[in-house]
Amino acid sequence: MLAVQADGHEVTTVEALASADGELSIVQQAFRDAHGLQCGFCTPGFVVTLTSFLRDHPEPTDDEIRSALSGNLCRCTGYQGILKAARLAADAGRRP
Amino acid sequence: MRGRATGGRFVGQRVPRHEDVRFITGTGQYVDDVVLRGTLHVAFARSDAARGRLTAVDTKAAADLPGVVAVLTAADLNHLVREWWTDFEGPNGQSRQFRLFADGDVRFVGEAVAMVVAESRYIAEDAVELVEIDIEPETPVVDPGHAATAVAPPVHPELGSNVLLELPPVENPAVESAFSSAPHVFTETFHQHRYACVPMETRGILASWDAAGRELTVWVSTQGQFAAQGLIGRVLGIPEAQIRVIMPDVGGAFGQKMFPHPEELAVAFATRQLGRPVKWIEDRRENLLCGEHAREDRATISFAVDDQGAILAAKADFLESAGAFPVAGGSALLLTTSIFPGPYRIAAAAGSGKTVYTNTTGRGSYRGPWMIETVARELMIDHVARILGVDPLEMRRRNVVREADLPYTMATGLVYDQMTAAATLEQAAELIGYDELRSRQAEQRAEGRLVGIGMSLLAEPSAVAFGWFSSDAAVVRIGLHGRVDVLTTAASHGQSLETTIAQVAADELGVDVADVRVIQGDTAVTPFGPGTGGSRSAVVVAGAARGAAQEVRAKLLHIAAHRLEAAVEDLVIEDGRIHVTGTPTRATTVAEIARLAYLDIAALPPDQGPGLEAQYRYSPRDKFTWSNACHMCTCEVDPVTGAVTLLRYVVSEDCGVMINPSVVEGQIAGGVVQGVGGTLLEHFVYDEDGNPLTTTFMDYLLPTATEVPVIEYGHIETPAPTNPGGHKGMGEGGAIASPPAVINAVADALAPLGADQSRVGVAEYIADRLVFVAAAT
Ligand code: FES
Repeated sequence: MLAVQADGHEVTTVEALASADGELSIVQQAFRDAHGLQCGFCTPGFVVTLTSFLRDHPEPTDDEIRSALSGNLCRCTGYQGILKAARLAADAGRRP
Repeated sequence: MRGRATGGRFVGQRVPRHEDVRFITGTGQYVDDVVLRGTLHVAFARSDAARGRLTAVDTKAAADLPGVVAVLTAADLNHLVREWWTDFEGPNGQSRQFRLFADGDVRFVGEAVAMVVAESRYIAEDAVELVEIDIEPETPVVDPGHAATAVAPPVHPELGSNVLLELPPVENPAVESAFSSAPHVFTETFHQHRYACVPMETRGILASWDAAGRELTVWVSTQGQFAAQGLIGRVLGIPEAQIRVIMPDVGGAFGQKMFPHPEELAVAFATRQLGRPVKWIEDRRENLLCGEHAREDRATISFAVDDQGAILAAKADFLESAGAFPVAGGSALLLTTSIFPGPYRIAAAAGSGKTVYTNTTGRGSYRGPWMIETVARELMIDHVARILGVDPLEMRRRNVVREADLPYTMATGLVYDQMTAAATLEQAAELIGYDELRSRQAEQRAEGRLVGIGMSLLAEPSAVAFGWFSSDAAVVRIGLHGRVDVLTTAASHGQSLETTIAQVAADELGVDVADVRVIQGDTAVTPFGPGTGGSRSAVVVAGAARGAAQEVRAKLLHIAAHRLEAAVEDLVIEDGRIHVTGTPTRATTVAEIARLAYLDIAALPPDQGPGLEAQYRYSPRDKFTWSNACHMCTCEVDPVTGAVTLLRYVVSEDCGVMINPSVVEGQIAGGVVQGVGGTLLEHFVYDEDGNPLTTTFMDYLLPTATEVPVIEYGHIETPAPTNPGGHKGMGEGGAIASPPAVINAVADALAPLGADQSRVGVAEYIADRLVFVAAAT
């Protein structure tokens, strides 16, 4: 998304996801638990994309997760940990 | 063999990463996040011709644009550079061609011609458009095969030839006699196309010259602050002591950031000339265009083979394209020619090769820079197996180095003190269900499906320990409140060393891993060392941290023994508590001892001085610490579109004692996907005039989450004898062994079509097959 496309919209970035006392969001925690990052450069993008995707698709299939994340690139992880984190977060989010 | 040698409380565990929290909350600090007041910004004007005379560079209009502070070119800066060798090369590095800016001519598309320094990046970019560059184009040399010939135009006219390095074939009687008497002799040439590191964070630097203090401070996206310090000092003629290099968080490198390039060096010049901080953050197009390339190789392999498929002798001749200005270590020829026999019993072997300049972007050291030797050898083994009608797994079984052969001396002279290639081969075959896959494949083929199985074996020469890479060091200090700092020479940029080194130190000290903080990346703070690259840190940095922690532990125990009136041998440290064995109530804590050590010196035993800290410098026993792995995968090729889908991907890996299996698997996964991408998607293409055709992510295709297979892991942990932790480096292997596994799988899938898999290699190999498939259907 280009900056001009966000004109007039509210933008949520990764800095807003953890609670004020530092507790990680479900998606953030899942990235840590599943070794979903290495250098961390791509991580904010993946965390935010996944957070928004899971909000709209609380019960995704693996294929849906992959395609939701296909606009973000990671050069370090081979996506293995990221896909695991996505699955963990999806399952954790479904639990009451 | 499968047991753990020295597992501790934390070593061997999947400890969550210390570095994660700042990255998942967006508080990591990469170079572009470092902001200094009054910073100027840079954009480069670059050559759009691969070779030609530079007849005019007019910077007046650019310099006149409001907000532009300076426009610098070769005329301003090139003459100031007297030395450009890196400490890795030594003064011999001066023989590698180098220049800051194009001067008189241009030698590749993307070569920097002028640098605009302005109040903002926007202004700098606008001003670049106003720099007028006149080039009279000349015919470039793009193809390395052509570059090596006498009729090729010179990439560097001041040199007599385009050959940067040549290791000519040497008469080897053992090899010749095996070739003349062997029942079968095969020769094939494999081509590997050009692809690149492509870290998500591009190159970047912020440099600030303090004229009063005569000190240069540099924040740079690098793999080693001391490598940058040495080179910047030499190029600018500033003593090292006046340069502080800080490595902030680094968003991946994969070899690209071992040493600063002309652009980063020009920024350092600019701050010194202008007296204000100067920043350059490379854009993606620049990173693809001219941020180092890799992999453009040819290999001609000959095997002398008996009727049973035993390889009696091998010859390998390599050709590398170095581009116009390769970086230090850009040629991998010395390693390629010595390790190409791999983990096989090949009694006679001879390697030769050439590295040639071409009018293209300079070659760098991408993850496993020598990997063509594994690619070509593993493709050749499948090729020969197919001709002889031997199963490729069986062919490898017949030739692989076995446990009984150890220690095994390769025909090129290098020694495997340990090597479990045979065990990884069997483990991978079992994990993937090889026999069943083969029988199922027969049925699938009968149905007309193109399903293939591919494999490769890899011996990885990790933790190089000579010259620049001889040693690493660590300072371990227990602070006043009992928390532990480990200052290391590491320069972790994704390798998780803030966690794994903490695990090692925590085990040695008997404290909680959460109480250990690893500090790196600042020439003013950490000990001197080569940085992180070459799969070294788990061996060498961990060795240093272990040694330093042991010294501190010894002192800790001495003081505690004195305090508790017990013998040192009777004490145990657990979770930060020190107590007498069997009497948990006679106890103290690490924190209490630390307080004594710093604040109550009179309470220390007479033979112990104040403080709780030690520095230890470590060099492994051997020049290489060998790890090894086997990759196996399956694929299906769509007979209509030619699309390749990877179905299963298995890696059996022996990296010795694992510090953190999640980190090991993460390194394997990242490497494998880089190799899969490099093989199936990524291809840096030049046309015949040396014009790059793939300088955006629309053309240079990186793998995404939709293309990658699920990677399955098998671990074998044979402790390395070269270092006390028993670790072996493994950071590069994933990217080395995956291309041949994938190509072999595709070739196997297409074999029923009768495709002749000789002649071509990696890129053409698959492209050819796909065209063939399309034509056949
Ligand atoms: S973790 Fe480095 S790019 Fe994704």
